Amino acid sequence: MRTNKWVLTPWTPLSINKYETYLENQAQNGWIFQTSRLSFLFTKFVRQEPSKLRFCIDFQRTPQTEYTTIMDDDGWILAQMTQGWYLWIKAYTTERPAIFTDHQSFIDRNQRLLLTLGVILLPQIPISLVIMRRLTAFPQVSWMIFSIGYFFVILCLICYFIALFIANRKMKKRI
Amino acid sequence: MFKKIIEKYIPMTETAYYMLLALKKPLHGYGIILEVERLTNKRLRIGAGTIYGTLTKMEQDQLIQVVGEDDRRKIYLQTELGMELLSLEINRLKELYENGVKGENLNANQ
Repeated sequence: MRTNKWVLTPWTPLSINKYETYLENQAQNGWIFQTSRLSFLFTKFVRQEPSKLRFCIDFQRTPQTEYTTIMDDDGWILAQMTQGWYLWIKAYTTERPAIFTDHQSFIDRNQRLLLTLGVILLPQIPISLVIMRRLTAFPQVSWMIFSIGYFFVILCLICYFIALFIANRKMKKRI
Repeated sequence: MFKKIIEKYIPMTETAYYMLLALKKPLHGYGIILEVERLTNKRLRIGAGTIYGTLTKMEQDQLIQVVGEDDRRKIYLQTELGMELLSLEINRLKELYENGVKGENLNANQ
């Protein structure tokens, strides 16, 4: 019988809660989160006793040490931290715990993420212009492949940014 | 500045209200979670992530201040501005409550 497995787990900042619930369901079936690669794109599970575990994801750019202290005090265990993403785990029996208990906290998390995406995307404007200019001056195959890859990634990031921005505005209106 | 703070915080969320109320005495982050739980007879347990985010914002807005440290845990306390804001909110809630009771009495007498 397999004792561990790697699973492709594509998720977006808009489906964080789905990924959290997925990890929770896996734990209830005896597959416990062990680690992940590429910001949770690939997730590794190990076979253990089925457990009731709550998984919560936060995004913090530069948190103070106070952040992990409060989380530790409240019984949360840091399972993984990657590129600003924090995955917290807590075992429970009856009441399902959560790291965020109001709408504003979710809005704030999205805003921190939007700011980071903005910081990444802004310098891409001059970089894109340089790549385009280079491509028109020297239309080599290797450059074309690189450019297609580059623009695809940037397009994905822009789509994430816009979708997250709209979702956050909707959440703000609900308050 | 106070006008901006009022616009930002009032009407207060339940989280902000109870956190500010709990910080009438010095407490660290986790202490606030426990104090709010005690104040509300375990009805409300504020999440640790929510506590951290709200503390950061309230400290930036000078509603609370750090008054010490205990084993790497910051100890927070209401500032005068925080107290002023809280009493404004309490007065608003009093008005809501009193008008609600008046309305109920009117209905009962009709």
